[in-house]
Amino acid sequence: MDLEQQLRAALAPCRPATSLRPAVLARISTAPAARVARRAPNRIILVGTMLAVAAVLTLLVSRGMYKPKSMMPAASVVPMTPAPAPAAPVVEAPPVSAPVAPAATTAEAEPKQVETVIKPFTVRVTTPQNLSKDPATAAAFKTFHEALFDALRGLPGLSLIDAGPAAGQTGNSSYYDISINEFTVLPAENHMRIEMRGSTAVQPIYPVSMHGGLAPTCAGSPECGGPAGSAAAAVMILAGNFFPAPLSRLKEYKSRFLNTSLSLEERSRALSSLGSLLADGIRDPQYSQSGAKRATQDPAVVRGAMDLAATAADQAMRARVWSAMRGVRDVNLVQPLIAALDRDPDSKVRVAALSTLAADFPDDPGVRAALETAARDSSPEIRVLAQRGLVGEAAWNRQVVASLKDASLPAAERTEALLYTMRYVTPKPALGAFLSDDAAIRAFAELYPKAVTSSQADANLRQTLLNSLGSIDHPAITDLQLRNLGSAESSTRRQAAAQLARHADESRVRAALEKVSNEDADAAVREAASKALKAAAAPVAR
Amino acid sequence: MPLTERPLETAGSEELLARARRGDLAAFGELMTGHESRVFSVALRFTGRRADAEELTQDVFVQLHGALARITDEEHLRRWLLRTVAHRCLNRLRDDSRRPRLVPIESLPADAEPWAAERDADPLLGARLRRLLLELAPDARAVVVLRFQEDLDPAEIATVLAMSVNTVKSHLRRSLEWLRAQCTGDEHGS
Repeated sequence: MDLEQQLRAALAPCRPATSLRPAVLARISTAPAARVARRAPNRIILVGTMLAVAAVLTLLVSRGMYKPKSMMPAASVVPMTPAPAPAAPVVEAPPVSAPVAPAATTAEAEPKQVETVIKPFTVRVTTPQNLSKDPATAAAFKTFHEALFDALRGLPGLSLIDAGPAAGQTGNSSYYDISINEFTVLPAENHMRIEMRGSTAVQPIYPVSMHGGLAPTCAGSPECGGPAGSAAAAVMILAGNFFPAPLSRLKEYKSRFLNTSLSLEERSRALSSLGSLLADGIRDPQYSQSGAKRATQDPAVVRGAMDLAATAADQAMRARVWSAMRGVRDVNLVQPLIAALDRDPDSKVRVAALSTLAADFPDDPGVRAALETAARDSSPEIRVLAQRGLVGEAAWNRQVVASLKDASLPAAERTEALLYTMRYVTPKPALGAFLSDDAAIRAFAELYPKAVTSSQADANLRQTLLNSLGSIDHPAITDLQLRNLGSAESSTRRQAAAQLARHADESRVRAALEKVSNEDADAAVREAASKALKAAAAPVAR
Repeated sequence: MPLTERPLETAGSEELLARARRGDLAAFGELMTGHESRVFSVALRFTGRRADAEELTQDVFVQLHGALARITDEEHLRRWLLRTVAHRCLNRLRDDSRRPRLVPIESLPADAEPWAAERDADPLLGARLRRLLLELAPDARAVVVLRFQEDLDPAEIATVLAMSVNTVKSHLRRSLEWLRAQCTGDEHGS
């Protein structure tokens, strides 16, 4: 196939979720309000913003919580110099006890301010030398670099070290290291690409790649365009995963979520944003989550989330709420989550509730009973998730192999744990990890044809499984590959032919490959079979 | 193939259109059935993110409901939907370019697999092409999606995207050259 044909195939139509149409119809049924809003959106936004700001200020002033900017906790920062890390002076920030304001416009707001204690931590940034001779790239890099430091300074508890271009240098093992690995600018296309990696002395923690526009043309959000906006966005991602978020951002999202005058959609999005941030503490350099508190771990937020899930008609919103509650571990959530798992009509909501229950309350007797019921559910996804919750992460791979070999189960159920794991679990495990003994390999070879045509196996997974077969040296897999030579899909036949090359000295394999090389309808398959035969005939260097 | 020569996708769509114009939500839902996959697919290829594509698709159909009175026939509807989704996608991409997102390097648009791909298509190359598509500039991406997904010719694409035919041809030529170079470079590099 030439490139244009490949493009047509790659861009073949895709189905949207079945929930799309009901969602549109639901939105249309509330359209009159939306139409009114469209007539004068700017005015409404302006007036709404003014009212909200006035309300927030009034409340803060009345409670004596407003502090001038200079009094807000600020991280100490080492000036940017190219000095090597060990020589760089570090000024540790004292533990920060910062107020988190309760929401302004809801009766659910906490009566007392919540103290958030933030443990000091140190981040070392390693940047490559600004070697670009292109003025636009050099300027963009300089702006990005400075803005990255500015944004990091906004994180409470953080001490910052600029290691300069000292990549690879061994630093203090308690540091977080951030390195900018790539900074490419295409000025003609108003485009830039940045790759950053976070690491500790122990292991890499978070690779991120980012594409963005060069022009800082938007206003309002700190994550606006241009190199500076990109740096702010990068720091918000880090704040969501490793470091405490800026207090202003926590307040903003919490306030929006608890503001009952906003739409449920806006509130649920604010909840998701809140759920992506850490409120205090940091993940320790061993990449454990101990000490890190999610921004959603707040009684008012939990109550609001339960109310929202109980009242939201939109299933995507309910699912979002239960996902956002993952990691909160508030026991008040257990019963609503079990109820959602048992009774919600939408499978995505059930999956979200189940995932949160399994992750946060695996030892709760009520939760285990619910998981045991769910493990017999009619939905494969629910069954697998529930089983995984019951056996735990550590024993899961053994459970996958046990299911595969359990001939008493229906064929589809024997492979569903394996398919789920190969598809969703990260880092993606190798198929060989599950096919560690003769019985498992034979079971897999027997079940493979049904597994690859099951609804769980998407095109990526089918390809992964097909690729993996080449790395398993077993007569049952050779038999399977011989069967694949007769597949209706030419890509499967081609791959089987290529992978059978190493067994082409077996007469049955050679005969099959010769037949394919002469008779297959697809030239590429014939060629692959011929190559396999030639490779087998070639002398092997020893 | 010009838009006007396309066969109607759904039987009785004119009647559905008329009923939907009169406020029949069930008819509007049926009307969506015939077009949602096209609109969603365009949005998905533009954005590379299923959630964004579904949101854009929703927005397009909600906008369509408000514009039904102005839609004269099925062909007009098809063209209106393509134009609207293309422009919404372009606006979204331009917004995105001003408001960059960070994603884990490993995260790929895996849920963007087509359900009607040609049998002989190389799935790995297909996935690679879909990823490369997301690296094209917004206008070029729009042109490629409309050309190879919707099978519009350059004149039709020019109408939908409100650009000159020469610009469309130029985007197509450059994009194909770039995609070819990327794919060839990959093969040699591996």
